[in-house]
Amino acid sequence: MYIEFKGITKQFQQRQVLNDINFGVKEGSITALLGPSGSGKTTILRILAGLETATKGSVSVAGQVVDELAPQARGIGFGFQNYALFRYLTVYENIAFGLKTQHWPATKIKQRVTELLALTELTALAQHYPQQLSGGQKQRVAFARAIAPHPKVLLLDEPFAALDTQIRRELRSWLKQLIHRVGITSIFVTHDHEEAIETADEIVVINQGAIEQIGAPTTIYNQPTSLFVAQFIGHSSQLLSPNLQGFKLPVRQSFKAYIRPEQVQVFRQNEQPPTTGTLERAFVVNTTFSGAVVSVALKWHGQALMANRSPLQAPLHHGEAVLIFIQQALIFTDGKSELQRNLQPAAAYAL
Amino acid sequence: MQLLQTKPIKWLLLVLAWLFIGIVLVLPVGLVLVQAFASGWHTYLTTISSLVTLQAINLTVTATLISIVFNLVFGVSAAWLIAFYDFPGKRLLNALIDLPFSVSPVIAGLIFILTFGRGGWLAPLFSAIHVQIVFAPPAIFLTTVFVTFPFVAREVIPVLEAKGREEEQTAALLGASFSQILWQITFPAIKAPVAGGLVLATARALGEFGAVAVVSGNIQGKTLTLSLLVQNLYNDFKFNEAFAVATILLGSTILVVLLKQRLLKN
Repeated sequence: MYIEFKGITKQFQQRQVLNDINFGVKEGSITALLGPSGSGKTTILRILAGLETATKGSVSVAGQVVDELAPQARGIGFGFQNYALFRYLTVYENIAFGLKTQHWPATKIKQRVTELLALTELTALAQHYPQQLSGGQKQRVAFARAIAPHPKVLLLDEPFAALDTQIRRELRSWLKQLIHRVGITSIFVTHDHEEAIETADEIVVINQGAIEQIGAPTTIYNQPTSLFVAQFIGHSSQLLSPNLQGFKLPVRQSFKAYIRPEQVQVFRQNEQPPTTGTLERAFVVNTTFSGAVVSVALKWHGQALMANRSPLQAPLHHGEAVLIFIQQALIFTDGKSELQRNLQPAAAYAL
Repeated sequence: MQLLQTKPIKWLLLVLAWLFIGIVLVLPVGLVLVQAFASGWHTYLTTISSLVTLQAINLTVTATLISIVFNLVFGVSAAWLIAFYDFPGKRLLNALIDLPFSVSPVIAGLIFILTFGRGGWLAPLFSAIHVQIVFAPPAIFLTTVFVTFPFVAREVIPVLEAKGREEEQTAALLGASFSQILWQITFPAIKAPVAGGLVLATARALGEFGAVAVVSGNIQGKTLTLSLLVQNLYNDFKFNEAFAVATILLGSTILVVLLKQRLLKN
């Protein structure tokens, strides 16, 4: 592993902020540290950068232990949440700053900054000052400045938090492509699971100073191993010991089932039902149109269940009796999770 | 807003404002000038070019310059410390910086007498090395520094706190040295409050009377600042001379205020 955290523990006065953090990051990959605010994810980033010191444990980058190294000697590019652009320097000077402090020759500096301006599409704004830039442009300057001196690792603290939804989406995919093109090993911190799933190659879910789960976005989304991850990532309906047809349920034992709305198909009585699979009766409580999907709140055996339905299908009425087919559920028993698919053949009915 | 468009109120406020300014500011200043030149140009010029006056100017300017330098160094350091670092006793330090503003100048002077004067705590130390503090220029410098040192710190701390330390941290991570960070990142951001604080400190240092009067000992040619000289002349019934010296203080204060306006505009 290119970056390795071994037994990192951090205590602020009496408070345990991080407790025995162990994980590795592959070279050239993008890792997201995902967790709610106050979970300690930013502290992990700051410890790697050398802005904080771990109480116990050790961090290595490219096989070298960096614990005793000064922050500037670690070969790390750091992007703060608010970008922290130097407000009295132009875009060009901002990007060139780290190269000047490291005494690059003038021609090399010019060459590198010009190259980065082109890469981040900021050439036209080279002589602008930070206050004249939009949020997305500021983020790009911060990125260019951080990677200018060829650091081994790029760390970004909530890189998209200060942006509008639309720009955030654009910038996410832009940043992902760019990081992969440049090939720099990157870690970013976020509290937004969509951001982590869309941008990262690997996600480390952190809660209350400890790692909950590590895995690829699809694994984290589909197979959460803890109740926390199941609740924190994406949306799920939580049901208590439901009588799910077609699932192997624990016998004589209470359990929890987490069902994602996209795993529940909803049919009106007059719609052509799937040929196989047991359909169950539920009632429509409410529907919310949110553009791409219609979110359907259902009542099923007295419990609330959410489902998605295409806006192209016929609208549902409040109180209407409908047929549902549950494709997949996450069953939690005694703190263990098991992802189950409906054993009956899935409905041959596409949403 | 109906209220704000009422002409009578506007005129009433305007008259009140000018009346107030006129009575407490313009009139006294005008009288100072009239009095200063009452015995003619010759007396005026003789007074302000006399040895005693020149010595007073020398002492006042020296005390002011020392205060400015101290203010710059202490003010910026204290602001940096308070805005950028967390440490135990931070709130206490922050409160103590304001002390000179809340303590009466006379008390401030007495503090230095008690500390450095005969029988004072540090008196044995300084008499051992034959340095006189109280009733000598060092006490004037000390008290002037004391009454002025909050100015720059007070102006700079809120600006630095609002700015945050991320820019400095980023610069440090990019390998910048302390002086590079200070001059290229921090200083451009605090230029205005530093200048503002220095102007206020200068005005206060030039005009300080109470604290200096207590520690000065009133020794002509040695420990008389301009303010003290004015009072001495006045007590000796040399009114014209007193006002003549006062015009020097007046002029320098106006100069400093104008300088501040210039600096803030840029």
